[in-house]
Amino acid sequence: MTNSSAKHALLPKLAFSGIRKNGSVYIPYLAASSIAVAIFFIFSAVSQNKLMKNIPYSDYVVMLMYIGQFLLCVILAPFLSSINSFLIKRKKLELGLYSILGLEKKHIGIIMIIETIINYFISVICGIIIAIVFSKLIFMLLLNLTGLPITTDFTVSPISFVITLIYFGAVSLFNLGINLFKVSMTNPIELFKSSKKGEKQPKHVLLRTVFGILFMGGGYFIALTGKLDGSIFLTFLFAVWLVVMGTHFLFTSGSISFIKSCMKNKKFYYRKENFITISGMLYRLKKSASGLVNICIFGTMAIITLICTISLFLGQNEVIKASYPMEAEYYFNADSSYDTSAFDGYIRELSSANSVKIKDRIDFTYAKLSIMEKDGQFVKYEQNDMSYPSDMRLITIADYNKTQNENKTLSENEVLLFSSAADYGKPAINLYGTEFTVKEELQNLNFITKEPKNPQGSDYYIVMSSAEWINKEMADFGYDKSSINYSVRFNMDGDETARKSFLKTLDEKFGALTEANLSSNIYDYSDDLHALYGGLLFLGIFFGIIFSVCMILIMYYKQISEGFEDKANFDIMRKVGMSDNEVKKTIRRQVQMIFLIPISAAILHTIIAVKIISMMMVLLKIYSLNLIILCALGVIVVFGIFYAISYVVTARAYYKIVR
Amino acid sequence: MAMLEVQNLKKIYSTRFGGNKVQALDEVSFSIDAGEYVAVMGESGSGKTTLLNLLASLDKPTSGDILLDGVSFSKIKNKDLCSFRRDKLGFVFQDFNLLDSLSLRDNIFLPLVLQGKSYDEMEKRLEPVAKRLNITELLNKFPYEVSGGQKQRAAAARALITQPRIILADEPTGALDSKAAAHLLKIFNELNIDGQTILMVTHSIQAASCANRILFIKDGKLFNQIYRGVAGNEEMFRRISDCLTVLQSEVNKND
Repeated sequence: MTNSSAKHALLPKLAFSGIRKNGSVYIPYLAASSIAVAIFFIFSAVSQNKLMKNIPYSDYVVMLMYIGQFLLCVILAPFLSSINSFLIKRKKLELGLYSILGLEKKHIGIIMIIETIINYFISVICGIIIAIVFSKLIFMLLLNLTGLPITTDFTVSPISFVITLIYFGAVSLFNLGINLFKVSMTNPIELFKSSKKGEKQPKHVLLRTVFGILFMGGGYFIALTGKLDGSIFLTFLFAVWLVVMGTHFLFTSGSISFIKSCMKNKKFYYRKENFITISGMLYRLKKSASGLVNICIFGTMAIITLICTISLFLGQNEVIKASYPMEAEYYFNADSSYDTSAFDGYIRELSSANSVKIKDRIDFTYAKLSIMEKDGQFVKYEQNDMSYPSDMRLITIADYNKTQNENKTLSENEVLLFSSAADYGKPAINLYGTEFTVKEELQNLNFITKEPKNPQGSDYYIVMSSAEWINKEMADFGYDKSSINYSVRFNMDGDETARKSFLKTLDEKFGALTEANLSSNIYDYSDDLHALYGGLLFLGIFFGIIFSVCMILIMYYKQISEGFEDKANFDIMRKVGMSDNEVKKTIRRQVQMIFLIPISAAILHTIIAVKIISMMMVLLKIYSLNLIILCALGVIVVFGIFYAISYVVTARAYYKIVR
Repeated sequence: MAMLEVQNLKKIYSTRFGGNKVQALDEVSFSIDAGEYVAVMGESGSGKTTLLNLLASLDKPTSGDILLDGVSFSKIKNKDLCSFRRDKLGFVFQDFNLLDSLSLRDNIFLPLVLQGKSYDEMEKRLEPVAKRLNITELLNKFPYEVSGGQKQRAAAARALITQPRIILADEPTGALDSKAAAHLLKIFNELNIDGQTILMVTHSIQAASCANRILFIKDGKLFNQIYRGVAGNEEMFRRISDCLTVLQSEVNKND
C-alpha cells in the first residue's frame, strides 16, 4: 500500500525532473511548440475577429483564412512530430536508465504520459500568451504606423481556444502514441544506445519521388489551368495542399538522392568542405528536410501574402478610376424631357462659389432592366432562378451621338451594343423574343470602363434607334416608367478640396429636388474604398509579418538544434586536427547548401502561383497582370534580401554554439 | 638524438581572477627515442592529462619546451599548429571520439580528408591499417553498431593512417572490457615492434606492463621510471605494482 503510493508519487516527480534536467533539449522543443500554438491561435482568433465582418469581400477573406488555417494544420503536424522525434531520441538514454533501475515499461509509459501532459499545457499556455501579447502589440503598431482608416482590436473568442486546444491535443496524443510505441518496441540496452543512432533513412525513395512529382505537378497544373469561377478559392486550396505535399515528398526524397549521389562521387565527398556537411545532412535527414520544407512553405506564404497585399494597395487607384470614368454622377427619376434648369442653376452658383470649373458634362436618359440569359435570349431576371442577373441599360442613338460626339445612324431593328466585361461577340441579340441585329459592338463609352477580365457578369448598354423601341422593350420585359433615369455626369477643374466641398454642397441641393434619385462621386467612393481595403491591407501586412516570423523561427530552431548536435562533432574534429578556419569554412559550406534550396523552391512556387493569384485578385477588381508581376518581382527581391539577412544571423548563432 | 624531448616543463593554472594558482606540472623533463613504447602512470590529478595536452599541443606550457624531431613547439605558429598536430601526432582517446554521423571508414578517413589527400591515396593507406587492426569487415558500420573494442581499434586506425611520428594514447583501455583491452594492447605491441613510437597515459597496470618504459608522475613531478630491459610482462606487472605501492605509501606518509 505505502509502496504503491510512494511509487505513484515518484513517477510524476521523475517526469518533472526529466523535463527540468534536460533543459537544453526541452527548451527549444517547448519554444518551438509554443510558437506553433501561438501561430495557430492567432489565425483562429483573427478569423473570428469582428474586423472580418466589416471588410469588403469578407467571404473571400474568411475563405482565405480557412485556407491558411488548414495549411497550418498540414504544416504544423509534421513539424511537431519531427521535433518530437528529435526529443524522444534524446530522452531514450534517460528512459533506458530508468528501466535499468527497475522501472517497468508500464511505469515509463506513465512517466511519458505525464510529461506529454506537462509539455502540452506549458506550450498551450505559453503559446496563447505569446499570441495575445504579440498580436495586441502588432495590431497597435500597425494601426498607428499605417494610419489605416480602420478601427479594430485584437479580440479572442472562445472558439479559438477550443480549436487550438483540440488540435494540439490531437497532435500531442498522436506523438505520445508514437513515443509509447517506439519505447515499447525497444529494450533498455537499445534505449541506451539509440540516442546516438542516426535517423533511419526514409524508405521508398523512388516512391516518394514519384508521389512528389505527382503532387507537385498536379498542384502546378491546377494553378496554371484553374478557371475563374465561384470555386476559385477551393481550387486554390486544393492546389496549395498538393504543392505542400509535393514539396514535402520531393524535399525528403530529393535530399536523399542528392546526398547519396554526393557520397557516391568520392572525389567530391572526401573533400574537407563537403565531408562533414554531407554526412551530417544524412545523419539527420528527416528533421533537416522537414525544416527545409517548413522554411520553404512559410516563405512562400509570406511572399504570396505580400504580393496580394501590395498589388491591392497599388491597384486601389486603378479600381477607383475604373469605377468612375466621370468624377460625379447624378441620377434623376425622369425621362429625356426633364428640365435641368434648377439643377444647372445650382451647379453654376456653387461651382463659382467654390471656384470649380465643370467640364466634359454629359446628359442622357436610360432605362435600366435586370435581365438574365436563358435559352439564347435575354429575359427578365427572376429571383429564384439559378443564373446570375446582369444589368442592361437602354439608350437612344440620339443620346449616344450626343454624349460620345458621334454621328452614327441605326435602322429600325438595329442596335449598338456595349458590354462592360467580355465582348458579347454575336451578330444578333434576342430581347424577350425580339431579334435585333448588332450593327456594331462598341469598345468604349466615356461614362463606363470596359474590363474584359471582369468575371462577375457583364453590364450591357444597348443603343436603340428610338425612344419608342425602348418603351416597347420595357413593356415586354415588364418594367414601368419608374426604371427610366435621367443622368448627368461631369468632370471638374479646380483643387481637390474645392471639388469636394463643391460636390458636398451640390449633393445637399440635389437631394432637395423632387426628382432626385441618387448621386455619387469618385471622392466619396475612394474614401469608402480606402476604408474598406484598409482592412485587407492590414490583414495582409499582419500575416506577412506572422509568416516571416514563423520562417525565421524555424530557421533559427533548425540552426540552434543542429548546433547543439554538431558541437560534440566539431570538438572531435578539432582534436583530430581541424583548425578554426576549417570549421568556419565547413559551416559556410553547410549554410550555402541549405540556404538556396528553400528560397529557390519558394520562388518557383510563387512564379507558378502568379496566374491563380491574378485570378483571385480579379475578384478584388485588380485586373492588371503586369501590376501583379511587378509586385511579385519586388516582393521576391526584398524578401530574398530579408531571407539572406536572417540566414546570416541564424548561421552566426550556429557558429557561436559549435565554436 | 631523442625524437621527443620534454624540457623543464612547467604548467601553472590560475583561476580566472588570478587568485589560486595550481601547479599542475613542475619541471618535468624526459625524452623519448624513436621506436619507444612509453607508459605514463599516476594518480588522478597527478598531472597526466596536463602533460598529454601539452604534448598534444592543445595547451601551452607556462615555461619549458617540447621538441619533436628537434622542432620546438613554442616556435610553431598558431595557425600551423593544427596541421602540425594532424600530420605528426596520432591520438587515441578513452572515449573513442568517433563521429556517429560517419561510418568507421569515413571516421578513419577524417584526418586524411582534412589533409586534403586524394581518395585513391586514402584507400591505399586504409587497406594495410584496417587489416592490421582487424577491422576490414567493419568499415561500413557506424560507431553505434560496433562494440567498444572495435570502436577503439577504429580510433587507433584513425590515429595510424596519417603515419604520425608518435601516437598519444589517453587511457585507451579505460572504457574497454578486459578481453578487448588485451586485444588492443596486443595490437599496440605489434605496432611498436614495427617501429611505431607510442606514448600512453594509463591507470591500468595491465596496460602499462606492456610498455617498454614506464614514467610515474606524482603531484606534477616525475617520480620514477622503470625500464623493461629483458623483463617479461608479468615481471613488469610486479615491478609496476611495487612502484605504485611505494608511490601510494609516500602519499600516506605525507598525510
